[in-house]
Amino acid sequence: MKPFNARSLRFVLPAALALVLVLGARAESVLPSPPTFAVAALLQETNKPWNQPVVLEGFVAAVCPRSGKKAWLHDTNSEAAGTVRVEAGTSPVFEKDLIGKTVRVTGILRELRMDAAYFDSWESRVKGSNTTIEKKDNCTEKCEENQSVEAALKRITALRAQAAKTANGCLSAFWVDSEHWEIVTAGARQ
Amino acid sequence: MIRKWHWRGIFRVLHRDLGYLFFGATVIYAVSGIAINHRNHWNPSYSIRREELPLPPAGTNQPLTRADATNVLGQVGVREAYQNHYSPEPGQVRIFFQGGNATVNRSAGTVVVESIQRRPLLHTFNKLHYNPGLWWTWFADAYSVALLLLAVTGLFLLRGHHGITRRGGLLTAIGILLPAVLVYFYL
Repeated sequence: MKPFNARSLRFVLPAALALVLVLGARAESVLPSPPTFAVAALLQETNKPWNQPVVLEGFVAAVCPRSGKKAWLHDTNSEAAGTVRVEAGTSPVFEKDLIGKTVRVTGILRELRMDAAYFDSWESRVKGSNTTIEKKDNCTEKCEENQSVEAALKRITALRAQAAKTANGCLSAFWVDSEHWEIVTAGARQ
Repeated sequence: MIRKWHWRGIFRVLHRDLGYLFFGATVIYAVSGIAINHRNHWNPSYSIRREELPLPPAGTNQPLTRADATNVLGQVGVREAYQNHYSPEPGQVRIFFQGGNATVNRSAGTVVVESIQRRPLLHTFNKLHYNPGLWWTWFADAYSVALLLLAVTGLFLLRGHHGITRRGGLLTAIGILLPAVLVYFYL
């Protein structure tokens, strides 16, 4: 058997590097693409992929008038009910003239579970300060950021009552943290 | 011959050249700053025109089909293409068209047509003010550093009666105290 020759590394190392690159590229190319949901399908999905990448398609029904960092997507079927909130995480903000256009959002599906402890904490924050709304977690299309303390407490009471009616005593709010979005229908700029 | 720079001379050159260099950014931030400051009273980026009209017969159909929605738009004088429609709450249908929306209110028997247009220049200025991306972050950071330098060098441009040790000092103190007083009473 030939003794080990250090000079042979000249060929072995580049070959190993090339192999790693090729295998790496293959591995990247076979990564599963995230599941695509229409808004209505995501709303009805019983086994939602929390904290997983998803692609969501729908038309923009509303945009946060203050920051443009949130948009509410409705199913492209006009008869369907409900919207899903999308937060412009690392993606560009949502312009007001995007309303009505169909978009495809790629992002992470997040969930907020609102149970008794959550409502208690929210209530104490509302009573203890001028913070009347959960800006991040429980924001709605109506932009209730500047609502009065009384209105906020009323809303908490209403949500508590809704939660009490559920089997596990808690409400689930969810949204998509957008990493990228694109207009599906033509006629507007991002 | 090597010219020796006095620190006041360096400050003057910095103040002058940074002032020239960042004149454009100052205008962008100042104009959009005023516009955004008053966003509770107007929409700083979009010009929105609202018109309330009587509900045409096609708007009463339930459920409102795409053909009905297109008819409603035509009957209230909207020429732009239909995009989508949905019901945000019972008795209400919002129809989107290119450049606006029409909200059908069945109980009131009205259609409110909203036409939305970007304000020229101001829309872009406001978008920059809100930081549209990393490329602007770097520029805005450079501008912020330049503003600090402009402020500091500006204090020491003049000597004597109008300098920092006399009238200039008094005005600077007022400029610092004023926001402090406002913070104390209102924040």
